[in-house]
Amino acid sequence: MRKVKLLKLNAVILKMENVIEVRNLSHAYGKKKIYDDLNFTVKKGQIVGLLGKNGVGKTSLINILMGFLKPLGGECLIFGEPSSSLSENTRKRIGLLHEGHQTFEFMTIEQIEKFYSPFYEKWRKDIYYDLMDLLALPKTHKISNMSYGQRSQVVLGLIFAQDPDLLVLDDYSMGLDAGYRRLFLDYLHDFVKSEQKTVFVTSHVVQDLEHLIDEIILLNKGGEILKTNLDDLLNNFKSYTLDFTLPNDLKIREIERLVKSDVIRNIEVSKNALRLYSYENEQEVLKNLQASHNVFAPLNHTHINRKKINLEDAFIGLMGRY
Amino acid sequence: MFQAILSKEFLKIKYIYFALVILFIAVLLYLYISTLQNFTKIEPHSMLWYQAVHIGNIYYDVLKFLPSFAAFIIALAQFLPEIHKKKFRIPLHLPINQNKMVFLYLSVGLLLLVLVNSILLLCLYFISSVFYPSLIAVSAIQTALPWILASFVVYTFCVAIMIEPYFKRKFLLCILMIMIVSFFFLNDKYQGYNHLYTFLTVLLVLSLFMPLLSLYRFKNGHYSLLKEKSFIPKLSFLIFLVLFLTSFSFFLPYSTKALSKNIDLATYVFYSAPQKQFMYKQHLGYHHFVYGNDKNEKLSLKEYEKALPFIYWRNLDIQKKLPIVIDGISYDKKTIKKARQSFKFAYNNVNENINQIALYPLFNPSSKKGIISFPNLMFNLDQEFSIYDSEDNSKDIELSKQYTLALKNKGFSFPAKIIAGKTTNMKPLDEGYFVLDNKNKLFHFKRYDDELFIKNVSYDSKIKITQIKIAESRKKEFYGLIIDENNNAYVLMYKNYNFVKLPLKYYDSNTMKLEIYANAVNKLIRYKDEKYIYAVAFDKNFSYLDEFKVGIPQVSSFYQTFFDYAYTFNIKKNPYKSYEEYSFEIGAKKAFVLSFCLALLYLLLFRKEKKETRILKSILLLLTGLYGDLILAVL
Repeated sequence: MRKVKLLKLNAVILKMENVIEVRNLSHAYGKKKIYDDLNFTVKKGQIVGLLGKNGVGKTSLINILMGFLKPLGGECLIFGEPSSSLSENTRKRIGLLHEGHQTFEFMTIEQIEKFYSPFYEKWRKDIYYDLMDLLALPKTHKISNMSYGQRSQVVLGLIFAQDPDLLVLDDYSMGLDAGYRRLFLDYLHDFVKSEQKTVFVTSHVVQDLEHLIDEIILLNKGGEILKTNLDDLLNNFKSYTLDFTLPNDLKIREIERLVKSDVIRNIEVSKNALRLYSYENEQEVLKNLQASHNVFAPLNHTHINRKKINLEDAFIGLMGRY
Repeated sequence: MFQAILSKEFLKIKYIYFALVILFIAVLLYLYISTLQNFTKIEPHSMLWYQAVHIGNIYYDVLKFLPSFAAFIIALAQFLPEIHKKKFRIPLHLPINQNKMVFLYLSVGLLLLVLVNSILLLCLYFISSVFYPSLIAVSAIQTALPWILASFVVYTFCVAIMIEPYFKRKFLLCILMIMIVSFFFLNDKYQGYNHLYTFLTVLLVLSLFMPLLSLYRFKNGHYSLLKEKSFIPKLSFLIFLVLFLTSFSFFLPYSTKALSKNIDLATYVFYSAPQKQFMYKQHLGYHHFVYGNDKNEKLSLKEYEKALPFIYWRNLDIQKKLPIVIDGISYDKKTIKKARQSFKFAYNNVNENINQIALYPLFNPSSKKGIISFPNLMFNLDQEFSIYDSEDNSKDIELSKQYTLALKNKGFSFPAKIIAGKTTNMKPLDEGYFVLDNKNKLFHFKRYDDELFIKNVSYDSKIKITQIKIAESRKKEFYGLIIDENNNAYVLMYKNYNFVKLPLKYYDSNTMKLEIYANAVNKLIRYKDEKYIYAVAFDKNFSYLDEFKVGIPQVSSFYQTFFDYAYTFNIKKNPYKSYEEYSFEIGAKKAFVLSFCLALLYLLLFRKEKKETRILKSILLLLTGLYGDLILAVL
């Protein structure tokens, strides 16, 4: 009896550790399938980046997670609650950045702070005004009269001031130049490192996330996902270049089709070189390449070079360029 | 939190709201100035009072759509910034109950609407009170109230339309809004909705749920509400269906009836003095007429006209066939013309069928003048004989006192139950008013040469008078018509105020029109229901001679057939009342046969749907027939 109770308690603790839990999620727009049996979890303290090419359903997923879209099947739990009916207390724990840094533009810096503060008991006015001080604008400045970057700072300030346990950032980099992106990331870093905060972030500037996230979810068309640790990915996924000129009579698409396999995950063909992506070592890659078409038969290990990989390379390597 | 939302909303809307207030003040100022101009131009001022009370001129109709316009603007100002780039998600993520939050948003809009509408009502009352007696001012408020209520419906629907994420549904909500709001503007008489406030209020309360339905759809997208477990979205969807059904079940039959009314085949019955029999003329459509008599003989047009010399006397005059001799008495042109009289009493003269502001012109013809001028004074007999002077819009206290006393001395008890008189001065003579007092005593009073003459009219106490209509003819044979609670009609004669009971077996004053035609020899009374025209002939002293009924040709129009088959039920406006009064009417059996077939067809054809959904929809079709079909088609 006691053992059963303990097991149950363990289960509760385990469940609690999952800040986001997506089970068998499926959704479609008409006949266009977005996800089919999508499963992943985000644990407390993790910083997870959701990456995918345009149109694969990143924003739809955020919408489902935040209860703005009801999926056709499966379930999403946020802090253990179904995402379509998040309680007020749970919403209080989530700092949500809406795509496009949306906010009430008819308000001033001061008015919007006054509007938000009564909703959150842990409201950190100081954080908000720290960020606002950087803008060097009067408190009475209207948000609609700000630049995109300045507006993003207001939104960021509002989210951080909530002191949320989970930050959901939908494409924070949209419309921001390098300076504002860096500022945003710096603040995010400071915010996250101090406490056990969980972050779920999407961005179309993949490179930025490299220094931020520790887990990555790659979302492909049709809902196929790859969830991995960022370090594992960068250590194990490799990029190789080969000096090689493809004969004119061969079609690039055809070659790509023949070369891609479980070993060679992707190939980029340029004028005098090939770039290959794989989890395997040089020999294995070369062997597979030679087996794919006899045009590659003359190649040997002197032609192949391993390149250092970054997140953007890995992204292209796994998702393709188009 | 509440304060935060309230102040945010006000922040968003304040400039536009301020502009709206300015607009309201400008329109009200315009109303004041134009009313002032009218009162400067027209003499006596009581003519404008008369127009407002007896012609039904709504002098403030410039305000009619102003509240709805304000509602539209407030909704737009409040929610356009929210739906732009789906920003409404921001407040939805705030830690506050989402339904509560939408209601808070709505409360701000509604409160602002209440404020601006209060300005309108107060100013309307003030402007009216400056120029008109309080009876008219109060009536103006009652008349404007549905316009105000409509504005709240416009507001909630506009909000719902804006929050709704999908265009098709936005369009549907627009259609629904137009139909629901139309309920508030169908009647253009004053106080036309005095008996319908419950219905209008229910519509208003139900429409408050529309933004909640849109909120649900904003949050969940195209998600079947059948799967939904929470109560409020389900209830809101149900209300959405109920509103659609209510509007469809009123407006579809309403327009079908309007179309079928085009075929109006008139039948006429007259009594032939020379032949002592009834003659009739039936219109069978396409200008094809049939003539006949009560012996069922078909007649030619010539024979028909010959039998009715008092109708076609002009032809006889041209043909130099006048005078004519009937029963040895000769009737020349002058006698014929002088003897002619017609009098009508229709359902729209029935006191219960109209809302009448009880304010009447107190005529005061001079015995030395030929024309009756329109008086300055108007009166009311509620608490006393209240006399209002239109020149300075004040009560003539002295005269009121004097006339109240005069009435009381004759045994009159206030308030009056019926006040009957012709309120126009375009009449050959003034017979003043017949008034039934609170104790059912009948009085006849008139004023001329500045004197009030009152007579107590004695009549059989068994007669419970419900209606009186006055004729005022130079012939001075009868004062008018009296109807009692059993639908008996009496002619009130000049001679001794005699009540002559008319033998009208099928007459119902609430739904029928009654006509009295007098010529040199006979009186004829005609009335009709949907199937027959009834005619009763009398001699000139209302002694019964004969009666006759003739069928009205029934042309079954396409629309009537459609009506019978299409509608399993309908909300019907009472056509006999000048104000809005609705009743629920179950349709013909044919309609249920059709709805049963539709339901069966649905069950058989749409097998791909889930069984539960299919059964629910079939039940909807079975009960609602065409309406259900339309709803399924548009959803």
